[in-house]
Formats: sequence, C-alpha cells, structure tokens
Amino acid sequence: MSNIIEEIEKEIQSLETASQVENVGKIVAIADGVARIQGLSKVMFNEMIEFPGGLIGQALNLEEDEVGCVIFGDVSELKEGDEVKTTGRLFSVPVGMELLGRVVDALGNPVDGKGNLDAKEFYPVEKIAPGIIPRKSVDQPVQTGIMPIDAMIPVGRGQRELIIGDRSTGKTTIAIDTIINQARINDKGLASGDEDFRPIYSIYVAVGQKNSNVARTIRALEDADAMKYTIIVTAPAADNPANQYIAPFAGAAMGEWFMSNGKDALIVYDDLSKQAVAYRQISLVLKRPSGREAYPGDVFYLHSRLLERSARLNEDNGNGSLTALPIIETQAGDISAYIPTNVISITDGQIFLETDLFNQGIRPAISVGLSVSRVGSSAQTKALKKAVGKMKLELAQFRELAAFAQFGSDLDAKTKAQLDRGSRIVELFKQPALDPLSMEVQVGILWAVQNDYFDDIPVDKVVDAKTSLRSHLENRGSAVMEKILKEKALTSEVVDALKSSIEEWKSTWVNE
Amino acid sequence: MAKLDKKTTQFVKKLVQLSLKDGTVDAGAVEQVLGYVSKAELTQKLPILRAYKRAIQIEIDAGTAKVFSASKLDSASLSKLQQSLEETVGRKLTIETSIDPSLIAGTRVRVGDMVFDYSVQGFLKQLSIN
Repeated sequence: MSNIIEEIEKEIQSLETASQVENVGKIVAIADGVARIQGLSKVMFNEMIEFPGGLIGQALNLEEDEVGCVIFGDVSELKEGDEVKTTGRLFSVPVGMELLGRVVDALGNPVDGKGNLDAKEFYPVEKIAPGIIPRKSVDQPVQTGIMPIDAMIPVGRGQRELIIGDRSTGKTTIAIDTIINQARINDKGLASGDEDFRPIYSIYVAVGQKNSNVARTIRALEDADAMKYTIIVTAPAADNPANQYIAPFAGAAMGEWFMSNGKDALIVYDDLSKQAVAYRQISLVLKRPSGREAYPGDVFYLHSRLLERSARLNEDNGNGSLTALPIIETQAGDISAYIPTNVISITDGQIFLETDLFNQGIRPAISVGLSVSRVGSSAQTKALKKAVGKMKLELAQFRELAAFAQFGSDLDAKTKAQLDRGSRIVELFKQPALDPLSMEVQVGILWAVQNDYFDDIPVDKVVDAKTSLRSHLENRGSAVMEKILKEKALTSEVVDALKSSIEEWKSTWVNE
Repeated sequence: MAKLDKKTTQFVKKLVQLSLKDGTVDAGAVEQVLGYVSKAELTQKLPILRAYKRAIQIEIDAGTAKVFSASKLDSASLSKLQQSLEETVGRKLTIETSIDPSLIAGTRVRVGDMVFDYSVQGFLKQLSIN
C-alpha cells in the first residue's frame, strides 16, 4: 500500500515547481495617495500590495481591467509605470505587551525614537468582530474617575460609549482622565497582589490631530505615569489620508490582542469624524459614488465594523474585553448631522458635552439630558449605584426648573428644595482635569449629599467642602474607603462606618 | 482618461473578440477591424480606438511569454519551457527571449501579469525577506 502513496507523492513532486509565482501590475495613474493599477488580475479585495521602495498599499477597488489602491506612507517617490506586486497577505500590525509605553504610527512602526518594538505577533487590521456565541453581556465597570460619568452614565467593560461635543468642550480630556485613572487603579491593584485583579490596558488612537496636541497628550500621560499601560497610535493631520483611515483599525487590532488573550483593554478613537473625512477623500479620489454630505455609501459600515470589534467575551473564550470610547466632533452642537447620528446609533450610549455648560464653568460640561449609557447600569458598582440613587433624575429636573429660578420668591417650597438640591449637585459634579476620583471616595461624597450633609453648606462653598471631604476620606477615613473598595456594596456595617467618618468631617467643617 | 459608457465598452469588447483567431491576436483580423472602424460613422472614434489598443495590448501580453535568462538558452530547453508554460497558463504562447545576467542563473518568465521566477536572484530575494 505504502508504495502507492509514494507513487502519488512522486507525481506531486514532479509537478511542484521550485518557482516563485508573482502577480504584477503597472501604475497607470497616481494622485492623492491613490494609485490606479493595470494588471494584478489575481489580486484579492483588501490584499496588501507591494510598491517599489518598500511602500505598501491596500487594494480597495477591483474593476474589470484596473485596480484602485491606497498607499500608506510617503508616495512622492512613486511614479507612473512603476511595477507593483501582490503579496497574498492582509495588512497586519504588530501587537502584544511589547507595545505598551510606545508611540507607533498607523502601520505599527515606532515613532518615539525608543528603538525596535520586538513584537512577536502580528494581527490583521481588518478582522471580523466576535459573533454572538463567544460574547457575554457587560457586567464589570470601567472606572473613569470622573464623578458625573461614573455616577450617572456608567461605562462597563466591553461597552462602546461615544464622547460627543463641539470643539474644545473637553472631549479628549475625558478620555485622557479615564486612561490616567486606569493607570492608578492598575498600580494599586497590581501592588495589592490580588489574584483576581484585572488591569485595563489603554490604547489611544489619534487621528487627524496636530502633532503638538499629540505631544501634549503624551506628556500628560507621562506626567501621570500612565504610559506604561498605554499604547499610542498616531496618524496626524499631515499624514496621508490612507494612514488616517487605517489608524483606528490598527488600534483595534492591538486592542483585540488583549481581548483575545483574556485581558481587558480600553481604546479611545480620537476622533472618528476626522477618520470619516479621510475616508471620504479616499473614496472620492477612487471615484466611488458619493451620498449624503459627500460621504460614500459605506461610511456607516466603516464605523460599525470598527466599533463592533469592541466586545466582552465569556469565560469559555478567555473572559477578555475591549471597551471603546470613540470621539465625535460636532459642528455648532448639531448631533443630527450624518456622522454623529450614525455613530450614536452604533454605540451603547453617549456622553454629550455642551459649549454653554463649558463656558458657564461647569466642567466636565456633560449635558445630563442628552447623555445616556444603555448597558452600563448593569456594570455599575452596587455601592455607587446605591449612593447615587435618583441623582440623574434630580439633576435633569433641576435643568427643567432652572428656567423658573429667576422668579425666586414666587416658588413653592417643593420647587425651591429641588432647585437647592440641583444647584448643589451641579457644583458637586465639577471636577478639574487630570484629577480622577476613586470609586470609594465618590461613594462617600455622594452618600453625604444624599443624606443631607451638604444641605446647610452654601452653594458657592460646595466645591471647597467636596475637596475637604475628599481629603478627609482619603486620609482619616482610609479604613472605611478600604472597606467600600473590598465589599463594593453599602452594607449596614459600611454605612455605619461611613456615617461616623462623615460626621467627624462635618464637625470640623465651618462655613466661612 | 474619461470612462467610456457601458455600450461603448461592450462595442470595444466585440471588436477585440473579432480580432482574435484561435484565442490569439491575428494581424489580418486586426486590419479588418481597423478598416471597418475607419469607414464606420462612430461618434467616439478616438476613445474607442484607444480602448481597443489597450485591450489588444493586454491580449498580446497574455499570449506572450517573455523569458529572461542569465545565459542563452538552447532550442531544446526553450521548447521544453514553452510546453510546461503552456500547460500552467492554459493557452498557446509565443516566446520572446532576452538575456539578463543579473539573474545569476536560471530564468524568469513573464506572461501577462504573472511572473514565474526560477532564478537564483529570486531565491536570494526571497531569503532576504524571510
């Protein structure tokens, strides 16, 4: 029998040639980072194409006798008539722990001058999102450290929460604060030696931003010692639109590595409106038909396939997660424009930032009425949930009533009480940038407000009182804080301890 | 390069089909097609002829094997090469040879947009990538 197999083997070997078969083509036109190529009859959709000089591209348009292809990187050396060839591979980027603390471009090349990455693994940038079977619903929190968000719009691991608002309303600040808070929690958790502790690694994707802004972000993260848990992917405004289009996908691939290896990761896309603009440019140069606001028909798919890759996997699949915080910039607060509505409908909720609130000094300028978290409440820590109570409703009602506030004395007692409570909550939720609050301190402060310890403090002193209470809880009340952190619920024992600690603080506090 | 509409593209395809004989471009047939086009009253003669030229060029390239070798090949090995190439590609081929010493040894064949590399240079390149 065995010589029959040998016979077949011999036949196969005689046919197998030791040749290298390549499929080649010729550039017939090149402009705006897009090349039209003749030949390449065997090319596959999204395949990586090799250009002279080590440049790579991606085949996006497959036509009858031509191929439309975007080129990543500097295209100034390429010219008509250059020969290109297929590679048979999908475009991939390096992934893994080696990337933490590094700044890379959209192709995964380091740009921070700290030498090679030495990455052992590569992931394709375009990957189908996990299906239904390996997923699990969101049930663990991501602590952003920003009190109004953690209290009213909680985010869970595996959630996609959109940060939306006009220019300079503090969108990036929220994302950076969240990354810094993860680093603090990671430091504390890893030092405690708790085996169940799951650190969250962060990926910050900067698309179409000024290099100076990216440098400032990196500096802020370095100052907070958060870079060691963070990867930064940057495709600045001066980059080719192809790089800006692919950068979020490259970041998602890096995040997916953490997720599929049973770790938790957080990815910030800053911002997706610039990516949509870059994609629109590519599509128009490729002569794809344009639709609303001149975006191509598949701009929804561009964002949905990207954000769908954020998921929470179940225990059988490693229990990992990828949380996404996409950012969208609106024009004059218009959330009914094309890209904002698309991304709002894809994500599991949004944090809407308003210019008016920002200018009134309410920072973070979160609009409570328009912000929502569709899945986060099931992930919120029980203690925090109990301490918050109906605060979101109270605050929303306060905004409704605020218009009547100017009538002052004509109001009935109930309305007046609502206004009083509301204006205190507004003050309470003011928080400076780069200063995240831990979950347990948030619980302590919110519990104090809900139990009327702030009612006799004048509204303009609430911020001072909050700061004073915070330092009291962090120092003298650290035992209670530890208890809350451990139990994660407001048991009667915890409440008693918290109450006595807050009463101790209240006795020292004087309204000046 | 303006895009031709669907009807004109189909017309050009028809012209290309008429220029083929047994799957290869035939000089006589091309002459006939050109004679017809020059007489016929067509609105877009120039773009049609340009598209026709491009299509015929692709057809010719697909039916020609350009063989680059480090040294001159004898006729026996050429005919053997032609036979094996025709088997792989699945159509009749005409062979054009040229000498390229940078290949070091072996041959490199180009048929249409496919490149079959049997040269030492190709192997070295492959080694340097991996």
